Amino acid sequence: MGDISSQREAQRRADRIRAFRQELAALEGEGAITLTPEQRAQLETHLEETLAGLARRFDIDTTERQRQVSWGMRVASTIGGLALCAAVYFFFYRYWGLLPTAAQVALLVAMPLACLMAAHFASRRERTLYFTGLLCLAAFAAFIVNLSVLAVIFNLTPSPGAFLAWALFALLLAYRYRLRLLLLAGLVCALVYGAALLAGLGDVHWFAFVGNEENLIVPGLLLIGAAWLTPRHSHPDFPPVYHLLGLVTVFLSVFVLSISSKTSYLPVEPKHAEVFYQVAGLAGAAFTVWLGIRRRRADVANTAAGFFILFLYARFVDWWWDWMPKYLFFLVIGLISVALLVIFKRLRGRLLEHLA
Amino acid sequence: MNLRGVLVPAVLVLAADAWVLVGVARNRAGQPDSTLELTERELRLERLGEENSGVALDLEWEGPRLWPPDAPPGWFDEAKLRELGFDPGQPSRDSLPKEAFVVLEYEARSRLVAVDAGRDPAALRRRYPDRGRHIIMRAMVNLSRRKGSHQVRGVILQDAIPQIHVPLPLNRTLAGLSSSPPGPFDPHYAVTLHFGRNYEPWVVGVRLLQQVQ
Repeated sequence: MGDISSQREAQRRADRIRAFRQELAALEGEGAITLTPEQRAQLETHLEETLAGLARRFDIDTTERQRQVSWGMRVASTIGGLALCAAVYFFFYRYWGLLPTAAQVALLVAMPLACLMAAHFASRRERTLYFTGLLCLAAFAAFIVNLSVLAVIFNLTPSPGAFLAWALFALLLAYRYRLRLLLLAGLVCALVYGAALLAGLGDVHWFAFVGNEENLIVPGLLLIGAAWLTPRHSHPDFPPVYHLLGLVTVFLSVFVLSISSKTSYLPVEPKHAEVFYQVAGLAGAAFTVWLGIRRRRADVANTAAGFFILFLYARFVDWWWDWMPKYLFFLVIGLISVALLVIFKRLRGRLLEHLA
Repeated sequence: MNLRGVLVPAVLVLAADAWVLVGVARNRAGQPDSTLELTERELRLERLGEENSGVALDLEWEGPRLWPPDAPPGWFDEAKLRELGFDPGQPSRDSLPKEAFVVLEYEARSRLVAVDAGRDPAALRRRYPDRGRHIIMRAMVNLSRRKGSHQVRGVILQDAIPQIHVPLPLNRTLAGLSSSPPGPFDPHYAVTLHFGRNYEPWVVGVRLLQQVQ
């Protein structure tokens, strides 16, 4: 138990103990093992002491009922945080016109700072961080309102710099309190900022990043790379968020570009750019599946496999839908699906071997 | 009490706000780039509803003619598009919008009309030196191509600041008025507007016009 440093690790250990007890009972029922009363008492004492120690240090769930209540608390915390964000937003807009500019600015600056202080106090009084997470989300919303409304009050030109500030703020809080929802929010803001920066370098308006998905590919790849820089020991649940968001961003961008590349930066005709992205999407997804299996990352392999199928089926529709009789088209798709099923079954077997 | 955990995000909030406020001060320092008194026709009152107590004015202006499609493009032609960095010679591609500075001229018939665009606001100001008649503002512009034709024209997609906030106590003058109606009407108020060094506007005066006083 000494090497356990986080609440999530402690919860995993408690879950393993519960599963072990269930399996032991099943094995005893099947007659595969029989413990002497001394062995049973010794084992139960050890398990109970371990669970009690974990519960004291990390406030974990030791029973299925506790676990269900914790899920409820997590859902309530997320919904409460989002509702508080909406409350901050609507409260300000309801009354801001009645305040002089100096009071508006003071209130805008004070709101995120007050939420930060409240989150800090909550974090010192609870181990599970439900209220802390809720207040951090409210602080993030207050900071978004802060910069957005300052821009409205002073009639400022919209700038992508705000996304950088929001990203840093959310990431600081996410790493400080281990909050995955804020990590996701911070990474989305960082993606928008990176894409807007690239669009600006391409001599177009920063907001034009939404018109060319190529601007999202490099920030998406950087996110995937950044997952390796996350401290895995203290934040073991963060890398999958980087992987998932990065992969979805890159593959969705490539998918859209494989259908239409009319605004592509590539110095070739749009039709040729589309073919390039069709090949790159299929090859990239296949390579990522292989990499995910090799690195024992089931989340990476599964996401890439999903996109591989999406790329493949989009090609089938593009190539065959117009000239094939519909029954033949669906028959071919069905047969290819069966072939894919065989391939994925083999891949799954290899993945299980690796994980074992 | 250990506040290290929230110190860095708190400093980030303060630094970002300071950055914004320094930018505002810089925009408003010295002589404004332009000063105009516009009426309700150019600055339409937009009531934002019960949930929003702010008062905002929509800046109304006319861009280059887009209709009918075969009409000549006027000043925003192929040469102007090339000057702004567009490449009209690639009909198979869609172009992405760019940021440009647009000159709005206040005409005697009480309307704002876009008359020029460029990438260098100082050069535009030299070309249009009347600070009481010509506004220079940031906008998003793009190339528009007529389908099945090589003819291109420029379009102004959006000005950077489409709504102008009216702060207290100036917005009290507009308290009894409802949203500006569509179509032609007699204006109820006039607003004095400054555009600063960063081409961002702010309201410095609001007065009711004779017929509603």
